[in-house]
Amino acid sequence: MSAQTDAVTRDHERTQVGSLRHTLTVVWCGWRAALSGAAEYRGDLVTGTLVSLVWLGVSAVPSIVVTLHTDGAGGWTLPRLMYLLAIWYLMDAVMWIVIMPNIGQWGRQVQTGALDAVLLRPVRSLIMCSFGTLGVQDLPKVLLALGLAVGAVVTGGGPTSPAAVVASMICLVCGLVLMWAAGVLTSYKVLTQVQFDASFLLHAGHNLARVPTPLYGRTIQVLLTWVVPVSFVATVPAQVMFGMTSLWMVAAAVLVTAAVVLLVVVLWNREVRRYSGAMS
Amino acid sequence: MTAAPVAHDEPVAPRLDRTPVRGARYVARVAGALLRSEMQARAAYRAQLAIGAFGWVVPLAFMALWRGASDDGAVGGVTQAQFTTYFAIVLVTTSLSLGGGIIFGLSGRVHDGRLSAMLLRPYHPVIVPAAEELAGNVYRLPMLLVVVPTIIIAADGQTTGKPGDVALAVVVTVLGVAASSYLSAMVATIAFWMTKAHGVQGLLFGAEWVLGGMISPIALLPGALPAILAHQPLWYACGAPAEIIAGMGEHSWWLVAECAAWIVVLHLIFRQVWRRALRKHEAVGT
Repeated sequence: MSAQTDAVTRDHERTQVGSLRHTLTVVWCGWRAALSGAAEYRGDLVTGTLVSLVWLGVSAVPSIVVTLHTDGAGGWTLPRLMYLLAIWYLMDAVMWIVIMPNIGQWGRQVQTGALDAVLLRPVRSLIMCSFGTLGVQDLPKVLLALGLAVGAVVTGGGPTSPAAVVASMICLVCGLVLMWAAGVLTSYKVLTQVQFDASFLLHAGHNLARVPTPLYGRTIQVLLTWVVPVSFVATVPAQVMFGMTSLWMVAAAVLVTAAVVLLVVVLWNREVRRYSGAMS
Repeated sequence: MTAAPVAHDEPVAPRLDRTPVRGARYVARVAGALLRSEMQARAAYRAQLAIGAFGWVVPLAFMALWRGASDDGAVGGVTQAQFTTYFAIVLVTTSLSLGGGIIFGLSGRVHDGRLSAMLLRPYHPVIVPAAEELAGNVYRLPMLLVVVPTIIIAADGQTTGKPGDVALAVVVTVLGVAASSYLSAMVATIAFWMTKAHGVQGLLFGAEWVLGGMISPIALLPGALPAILAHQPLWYACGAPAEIIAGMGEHSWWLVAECAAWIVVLHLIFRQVWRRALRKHEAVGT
């Protein structure tokens, strides 16, 4: 009897309003609504996929042209560059599927008062504000990135070991989380300063990750690794996959990501406390 | 006794401005006035515009890639120092492009219905988004004039150092930007036929990346591409000035004549495209 009561209580706690599970359920509902809405624009999805495919080709051209003339750049052969491009493209997908449709709208939401309505909901505000909807048109980018990554690893002679694959995946997840965190960090100030816009820093960091950071030279590489963690977005996952760096970088990626997420949560909570609404 | 004449303040009819509302002089006057007004409007955000110039770093990423590739020696006859200068100048030319403003500025006005009011004014609606983008460039340019020479010096870039080359590069850039703006305006007219056209319209930027020489000097592209691509507006606006200043290949003032010919041809094509596009204009926002 007691065990049954405990189970019911635990179940009730899991779905308690305001809990993480409840927040994720609400987010999932938002995503389903976005997918249903996009179903009305199926032609748009086809056009979007073709455009994404063309852009992936355009992004691949520099690496291909480089390897037409040389063996690669700084030890980065064509398959390695393609694997890095696949990771970068996945980050680009995250940018246009999650970051821009949610975080990119905060300024407008503050001005119209729409953010007030979101903040009043009994859910985790940071998760709701940054994952509430999806940019459905860019979803095919994820599949394109995965296809390119598999092709690059196969033609590049495969990973050095199964551990390298796992380590690369861990770094990849860290990179995805860092992209989201960078999105929040460059936009959270808009809650108290309506005209604030530092999104150009997000785009700059993202574009610098297009090429392996060691190619920027020693000093800039150190800056792009330990000051602004651009390296952890695309370069480190690729280096780990092909055994180009120590596995200690995996631990570093996890630690850096944890520290940045902690910073994001602290700054967001502080900003929400200061937020007074700016509806016009 | 005669009364002294009394001076009356007769209402004077305002002198009508008889300037014709067409012709190159009139367009230049309107464009100048619009540019001044847009610059004043952007003056409040000048710091944001100047700092925003740092957001465009794609040429720097490709600079790193090609410098890495040329670490052991010249690639296709292009040295590491030339790659540095080439991509630094490409950073300038791509930052000053008017394409994005024209395409998305005009499309937005077509979709929300503002174009209807603009069509009543005695000048072409494309001039407005072009002036808006140009005004933003005025505030970005000083930042670039500091950053780009710093990059060239810090990364051991190499320039020809000839004043004639600099003059040629500047003239080709201006004419190239004008020619490629016509292409942008034509791509913008897709908005008359499609409600959601941003993705397709953005492909012009993809073309600019490859055909304009932003991802690599066109001389390094395979096959007959270098010979073909050296005679089109996207390259004049992006890669040509960079090649001239970096001292890559031989360039003469014939380039200017080519650019001018392209502008005339594109102007005539655009007039036809615009007429057809206007027939599709529904004069309501979507």
